[in-house]
Amino acid sequence: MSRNPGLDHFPPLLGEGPPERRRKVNQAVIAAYAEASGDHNPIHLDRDYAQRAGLPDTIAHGLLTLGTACAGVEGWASERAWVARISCRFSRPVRSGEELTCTAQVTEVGEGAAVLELAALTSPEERALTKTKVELRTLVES
Amino acid sequence: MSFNPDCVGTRYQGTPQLLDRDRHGAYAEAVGASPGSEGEFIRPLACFAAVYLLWPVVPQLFQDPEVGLDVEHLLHGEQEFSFERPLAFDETIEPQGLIAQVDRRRGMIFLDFRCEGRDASQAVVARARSLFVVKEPK
Repeated sequence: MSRNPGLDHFPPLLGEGPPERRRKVNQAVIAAYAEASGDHNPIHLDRDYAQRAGLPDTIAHGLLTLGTACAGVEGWASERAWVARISCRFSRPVRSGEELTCTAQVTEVGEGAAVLELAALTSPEERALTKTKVELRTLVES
Repeated sequence: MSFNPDCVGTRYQGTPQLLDRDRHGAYAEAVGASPGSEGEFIRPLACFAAVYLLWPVVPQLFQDPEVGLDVEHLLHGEQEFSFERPLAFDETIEPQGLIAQVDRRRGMIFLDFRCEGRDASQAVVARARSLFVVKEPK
């Protein structure tokens, strides 16, 4: 994955945001997240268990999807701003092997703060996350 | 084991969590995060709160026989994290969880779970709100 060109000013402009990121969420990624997070729920790791629960395959942790979507924003902004708030709704589970396409753009700018709306899609019609926002605050006090 | 609607107000205490670079590095790799131009992360990723704030207490909720959640039919519906200040590596955060609200409607249980993380001065520096949704048996 290429390194993002970073945000070099604050506040950012409306419509600005990190470059689009794509990431395949395969079983190795899900297993790595389970190990890193401590969440070993078998619905993420055991295909037979997932199928008994009515799913076609294992699914990614919701917080893996959110973390993947937010990572691009933080990589882009971290030298100018810190994340003060994140909110999201998990609208569709990401199945093992699916590719996430993550985008974000600034929708609000205020005094020392900016809000980005994020999208994480598994296809042009299927959103894994909805109502996803990240609030940044400047590292430099005005 | 059936769900106990009187579980609101139940609290869970997590063990203090060190925000160490090794554990963060494994998390960052799992979510595909890249460090900044200096080649290393300036501060922990915000969603790393899933590891030091949520996960020390959420399994206690899921396994609590006094609550009786059917985790096989549980979905993570919504998630929020908020922070009072940027956190730093090598800080220790003490997490605590609370069942804040329960709603039952249309055959579903909506459980609002709140977490707070306190720093070494006992100030709350990180918060999480998780909405867990469980389908009730017919």
